[in-house]
Amino acid sequence: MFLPARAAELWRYRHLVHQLAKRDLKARYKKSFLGFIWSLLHPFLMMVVLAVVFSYVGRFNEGIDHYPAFILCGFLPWLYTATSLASSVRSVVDAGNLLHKVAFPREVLPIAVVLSNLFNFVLALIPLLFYLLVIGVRPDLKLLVLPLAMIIQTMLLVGLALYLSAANVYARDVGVILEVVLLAWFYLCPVFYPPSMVLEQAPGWFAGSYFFNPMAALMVLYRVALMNASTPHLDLRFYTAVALCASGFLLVSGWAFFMWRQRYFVEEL
Amino acid sequence: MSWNLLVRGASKRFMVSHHRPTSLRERFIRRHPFGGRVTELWALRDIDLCVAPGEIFGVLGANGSGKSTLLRLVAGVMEPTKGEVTTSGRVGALLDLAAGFHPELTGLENIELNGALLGMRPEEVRERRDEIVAFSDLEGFIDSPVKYYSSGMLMRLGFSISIHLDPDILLVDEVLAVGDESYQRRCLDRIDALRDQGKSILLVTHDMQQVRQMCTRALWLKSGEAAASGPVEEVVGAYLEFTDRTDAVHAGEEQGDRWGSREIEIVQVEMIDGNGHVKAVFSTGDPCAIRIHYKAHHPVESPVVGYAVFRSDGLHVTGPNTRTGRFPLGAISGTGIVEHRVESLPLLPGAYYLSVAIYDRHIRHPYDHQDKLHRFRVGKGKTLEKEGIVTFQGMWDHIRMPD
Repeated sequence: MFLPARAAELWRYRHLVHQLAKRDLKARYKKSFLGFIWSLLHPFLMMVVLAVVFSYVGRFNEGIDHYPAFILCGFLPWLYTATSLASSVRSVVDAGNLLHKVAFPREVLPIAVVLSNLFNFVLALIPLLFYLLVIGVRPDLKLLVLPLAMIIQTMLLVGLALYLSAANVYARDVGVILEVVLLAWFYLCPVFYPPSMVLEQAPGWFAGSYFFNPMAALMVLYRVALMNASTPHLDLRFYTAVALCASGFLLVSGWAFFMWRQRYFVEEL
Repeated sequence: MSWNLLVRGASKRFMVSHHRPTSLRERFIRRHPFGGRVTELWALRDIDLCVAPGEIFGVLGANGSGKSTLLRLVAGVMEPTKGEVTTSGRVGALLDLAAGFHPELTGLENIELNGALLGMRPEEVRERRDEIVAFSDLEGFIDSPVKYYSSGMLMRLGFSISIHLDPDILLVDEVLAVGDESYQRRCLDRIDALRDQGKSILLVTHDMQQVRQMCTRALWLKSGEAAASGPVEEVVGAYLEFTDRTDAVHAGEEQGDRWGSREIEIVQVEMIDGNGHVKAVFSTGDPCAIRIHYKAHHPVESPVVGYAVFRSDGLHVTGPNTRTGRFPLGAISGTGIVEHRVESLPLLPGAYYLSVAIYDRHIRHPYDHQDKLHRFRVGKGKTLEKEGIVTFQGMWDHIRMPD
């Protein structure tokens, strides 16, 4: 089936994506006293730990204004990526029984996982914006870049989720390998250190390729949007375009890969 | 002829590997990482069927004959290896929708989720929600998480969802597994109603009576192939004839238990027809007799000989013996035969077990008790009756009162 026809089919099942995402969110906070408030609180508590560790132990905070806010602007998008990928990789395998019973476009499973994490991400951005106002960072028109960054990141995550969830059906190692990859990827992104540190101190080949990592470019973009960060010596437009192309490519190829493998899911599970 | 469901020459092959690697390490350490010992298994071969709007089509067959595979092809969760499966309209999910339930969500939330799984809009689901809840008898529980439901409640909710979400093609797998008798009755009535609305229904079952009552046409699957297909009476007839023949081969095989002190032994048990021929398959209304051959190793005073008939599901149908029959045997030694003659067998078609026993005069001490060691089968006789276990073989009469 061609992707445009498949896209129409997916659109018909948008309510299923919505229901599955809702199920994910509801199930996550059932039996907890604070419920969805955890979506807001959890990233802040994590941020506190990171801020304390990296400013007192690593001294990464030197020369950065509002270091906690700096960390949060990188860490919230990172959390979106890490939780989306870690749970979408199991999404098809976990739905095994369902796949045997009902015919529905299987892509909705990883897509719903990413979207429920997107919802959590948006929820966590709200207190961040308040926090920024309190510490005196006034967002301006650059805030309009925020949706762009979120769209690119979501395309990237859906593409990767499609690859991972389909591959995990054939080799469950994918989930384990992913954990290692995510750890490495975290350190390759400017979450707790300023990107200028890499540009100045890392060897040339590394600095030159650093921003081809879409997540690195996206984090800079998020900081521009939220904190009004300035980006001297960096052609952000170019790297945003690179991230957009990479995400678009991963989305289309991941979808094609998923479509190719999905007809054998029922027999494999 | 118009149709909602058309299956043409559908075949399904499974590649069964004897050890299926599911991790990279396993793939690497084998010599042929993605192959190895793989055998082909054809779960279905060259199946044709066509279900018209307003028709209930039956699918018969033993376990492992390919019924589930056929259902999955029609439901669209698998593609046929060869041939094609064409459907028009919405295909309902398989009965066991409980697969789509999330334990932490309430019954209502699960109804919404399942509606979305079948591709319905939220408004459509909301319209039918009350009806679904009422039909499943779960009004009091519908706001509780389904993890507190019993398996019967889950099945009822799943079935209620699948028949109310307006499928054009309904797939029903073993209705009788759901709920008590009155609930089953309602399910069957609902299926009839859906047929009258012009839906197509594919009914998979072991229950011959159900197929006869509900379906116009049927398909009998045997090891993945269509052994018979067409009008329901022909297909059911062919199926019963086949199972009778295989049962006749197995009849007399020892299956159950045997105990007793064996002063007297039952050496042989026979069932004979009106002409004195030994048979294992009878028809309702046939004359027959049960013959119990004994051999006494020691003389015994006034033993009691009897037998019992059980339906294949274990229901105790009858249990005559020489004491209840007021037929004292007196002192017994050597060998002999005790016979119980039945002028007209009242059992309706089905498979039955026979237990035979010799006890002491108080029916306390077993000399030889053979529990359900023998099998026989009753096929369709002259009577048209289908309901229940026995026929009274009575006569109808009608007396009109003058106005």
